[in-house]
Amino acid sequence: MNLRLASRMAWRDWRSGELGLLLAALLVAIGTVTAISLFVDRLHQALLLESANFLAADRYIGGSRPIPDEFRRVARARGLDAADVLSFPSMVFAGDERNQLVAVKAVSEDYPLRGTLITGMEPFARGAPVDDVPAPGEIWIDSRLFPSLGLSLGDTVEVGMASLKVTRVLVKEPDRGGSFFDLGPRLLMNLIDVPATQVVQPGSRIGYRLLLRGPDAELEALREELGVEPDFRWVSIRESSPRIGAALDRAESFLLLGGLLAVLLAGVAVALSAHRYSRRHYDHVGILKTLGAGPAGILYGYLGILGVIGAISVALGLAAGGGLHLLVIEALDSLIPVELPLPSIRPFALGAATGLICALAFAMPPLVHLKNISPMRVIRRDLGAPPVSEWLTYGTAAAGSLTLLIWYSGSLMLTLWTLLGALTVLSVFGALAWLLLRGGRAIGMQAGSFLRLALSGLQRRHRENIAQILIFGLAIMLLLVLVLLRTALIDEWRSALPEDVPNHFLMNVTPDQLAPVNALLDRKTERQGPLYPMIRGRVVAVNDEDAQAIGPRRRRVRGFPRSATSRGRRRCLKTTSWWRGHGGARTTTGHWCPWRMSMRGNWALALATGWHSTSAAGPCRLRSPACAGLNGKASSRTSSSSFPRRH
Amino acid sequence: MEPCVIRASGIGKNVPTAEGRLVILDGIELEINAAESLAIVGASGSGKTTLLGILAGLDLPSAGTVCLAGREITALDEEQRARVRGEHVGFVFQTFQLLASLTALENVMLPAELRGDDDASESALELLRQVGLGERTGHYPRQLSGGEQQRVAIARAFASRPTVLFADEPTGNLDTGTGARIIELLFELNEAFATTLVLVTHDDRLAKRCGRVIELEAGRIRR
Repeated sequence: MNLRLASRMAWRDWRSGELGLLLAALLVAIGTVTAISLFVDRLHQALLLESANFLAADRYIGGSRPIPDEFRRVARARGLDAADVLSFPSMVFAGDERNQLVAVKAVSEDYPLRGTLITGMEPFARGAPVDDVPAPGEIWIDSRLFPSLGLSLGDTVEVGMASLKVTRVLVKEPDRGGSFFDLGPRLLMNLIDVPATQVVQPGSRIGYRLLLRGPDAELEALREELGVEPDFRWVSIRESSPRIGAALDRAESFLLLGGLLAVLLAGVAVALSAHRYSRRHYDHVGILKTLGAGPAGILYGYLGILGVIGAISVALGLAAGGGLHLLVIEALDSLIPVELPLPSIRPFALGAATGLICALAFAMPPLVHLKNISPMRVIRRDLGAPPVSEWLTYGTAAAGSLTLLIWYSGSLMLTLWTLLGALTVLSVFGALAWLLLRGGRAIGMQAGSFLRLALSGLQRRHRENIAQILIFGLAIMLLLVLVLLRTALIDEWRSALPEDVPNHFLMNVTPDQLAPVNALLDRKTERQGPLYPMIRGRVVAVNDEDAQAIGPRRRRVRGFPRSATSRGRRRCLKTTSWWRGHGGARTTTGHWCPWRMSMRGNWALALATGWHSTSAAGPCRLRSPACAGLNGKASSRTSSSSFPRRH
Repeated sequence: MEPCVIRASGIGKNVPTAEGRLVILDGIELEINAAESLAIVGASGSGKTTLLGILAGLDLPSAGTVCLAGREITALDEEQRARVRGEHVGFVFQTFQLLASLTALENVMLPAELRGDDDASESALELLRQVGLGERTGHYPRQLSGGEQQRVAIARAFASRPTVLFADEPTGNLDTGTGARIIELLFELNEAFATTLVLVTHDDRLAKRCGRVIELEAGRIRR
């Protein structure tokens, strides 16, 4: 049987409605996977793109030493865009009397590689995006520096030994971040002017960054090639902002798991519809064999039909998935504040491959079985059909499910647990079904004729009936798992955010401002607590091990900081025995409390046993009292307060 | 053409049952010449249909050999037997065995399509006209009467230009009048195509139209 005849037969079967169910099942599988993958892909891209704005790049190489030229050369050779950023704190002077500590950022011409700079021509006003950086000899500064230094646009400011002209108001920069580490008002200048300032001296506290932009594969290859650690840090959004990374991972896992369960359900539907189609074609095959079709012709013919149906399903399923994901985006429009980028080719490839695997693993075995139908069936219907090879049927279904599970979850452990769960459910359902059918025999003996007939029918085909009960049981279980997972995940997300969690922060309140600020906050806000003192500090030891000694190791732990900002809190510790060095701080309400560290990169280190659940990984795991020492240098004590999230 | 189209020697067929081996056919010796018409008659369970299946290469005997159109089909594998069937054999069944999802024309086109012929449609249309269904080509089997369905089945059987036409109770599902017309049509086309006809029947009228009649009893040829 050639492909032309297979296509013609497929068309004839479709016309008579024989293939409708199989096509629908494949369509559901491909459409669902494509829709979910498209949505995830676009959301993922959008989140990464938005997240990249926090870095002003896709990745950066950071360190306290100048970035070697070789890094730039190799990055450019790989077709990656690169830009340099140098940041340091410095005092700036305006005239003879006014000065201010600022956070200086010197940037090269290509800065930023992601996101945009927003500048204005008037302090404390809205700005507009610009695609350049300060020209040599010029600087852009935060609005608050204008009143504090008594400046106007066009005035000159001394940064180190250089005199630079203020030409714009810096409203927003993409990689400003909101950490407590970076609190000074920003001064943006051109990298070319840095030597003239003479602030870069041995021992200066300077941060160097080489921003990078380009395809993921090239970036990762560059990472491998350069081997920047341990002297420098390789930072992506996941390292830089672990919460964003964790949220991305969690959303992706849930959506993919949902997609996976949808595919397994569709796989069951494909298997059922293929079995039905196969059974209805026993007579067809018998007739075709009497007319001269051999087993090979029958096999290729029906595989051809499956191929035609598969191709149509893929085409329609990809289109349906595309349409469906647009509907999802439309429905969630108000929840997605960002513009979603165009999808990559991957979701379409994923949808098509899923269709192919479903067709091969779930639909092919019953169709392959058709070649074994005897031509004698045309004159001896009682011959039936030889039994389908169970190894072929269940083996391919298991292999297909396993492939899809591993592919989707990307985790062998998750796959094994899912399989174990499915096997357990199948065993329990199988035992129950067997008991039910066996119990039915006893009941049937005492039942009326109709019920006895029905029960004996169930008994006669008990294997098929148990299989059907298992399939439907599994399908219902998968649906329930999906519903439970969705509910559980939403609950988990909600519980991860405590009631009245702050979402606005007021920082850099100086001691003399405490009273009026407190009074203002009490009048105008629903804040939940007092102002907290904030002190910069440096980690000097972890578990009594010198921090310098574990320096190379700690760099391998994502996000482990060199320095931290400590915040005193009113409701905090059960013990103070952990603290080595300084004791704590007194809150604005007069309560004494030891400090708790809140470390950059969202590392809240638990400094008291059993009090705080956040923990670090690897060599920096902190458990016991006195697990960390803080060389607190409380030279610039300021306070902060937070305002509750409005739900 | 070789005068002997079918030669069956020492054909035996038995199947295992719970009560032991059941003998269906035992020592059948049979030769059928080209263009001959042979009726196989006998009581139910005498082995008529089994013998027909073995002679047509649909089934294999437990013992003996069958030569069909010069090929020893009992020595061939299923793929080769299918090829022989496609080249030399046509079938007409009691239950018509039309494909329900195909129109009358498509049913008749099937043998030629399986062979890969380009003119499958033209020759099928001509055959349907010959059986008087030229106006019903687009109808599905469920839209045709029993007699009409059997006429489509006859047209399909001759579409493969068979050397031998096997018919299993071709009038078994038809009323007397329709059955008679089908018999006429069958013999008319058989003569036109110079086909060897082997049929199994309970119908005396049909058996009498054949040149030779053999009767089976308990798996043996009685006469």
